[in-house]
Amino acid sequence: MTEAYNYEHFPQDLDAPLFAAFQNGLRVGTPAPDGEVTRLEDGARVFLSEYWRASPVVIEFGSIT
Amino acid sequence: MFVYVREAHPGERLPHHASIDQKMQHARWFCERWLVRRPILVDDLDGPLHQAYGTLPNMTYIVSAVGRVAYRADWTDAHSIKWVLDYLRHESVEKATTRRVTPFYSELAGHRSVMDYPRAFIEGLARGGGARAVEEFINAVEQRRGKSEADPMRRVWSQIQQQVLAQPADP
Repeated sequence: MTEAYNYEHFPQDLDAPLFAAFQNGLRVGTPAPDGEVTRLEDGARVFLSEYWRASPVVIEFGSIT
Repeated sequence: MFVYVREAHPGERLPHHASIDQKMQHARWFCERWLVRRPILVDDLDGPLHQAYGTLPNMTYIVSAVGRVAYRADWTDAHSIKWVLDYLRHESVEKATTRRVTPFYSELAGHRSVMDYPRAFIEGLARGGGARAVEEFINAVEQRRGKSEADPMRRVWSQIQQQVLAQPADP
């Protein structure tokens, strides 16, 4: 059964398949995926790439929980 | 910067996102709770960027100024990030001054520090998602790793449950 992205209940498999897949996923040296996000500060729509244009960036992914 | 993604441990206090407005509100609470000063960018509701980068709950990437992945990690470890940034800074100095550099590729596996696990982790789950977030996590641990790992967590939870749930919710 495919869990929805925004799962209501923590997946029973402890997202183990995702961790296993990560090692074979996006490789270093390849282009970083770009896309539009909403900037929290002012609600503006911006491309992620606008941030790495000037200098290298550290991107951390997460949530309050 | 920080890219805000789906709730890793939703519960009765902080549920899964049903709308982008709700996701933005959670991101605001996150910003206030942790006094975050770097830019917070909220991924769209269905997590397109989160999924493009690997869908893990707390990954870190470093992207170079030419838009290439320079570092990626399945968890966030401040110590190794600092070490990689120092390396990249040294590398750019070498390129600019000596110009005697050539590409090479490496991988690195290691360990990250965990503070007071599982007690602090369980407290964090309770203060965030709530009691349901704790119970679902412990059930998943039992399913994947057995009672020997889950039972100590249950004992810790029963010890701290009343005290933690009596505190005001986070946020």
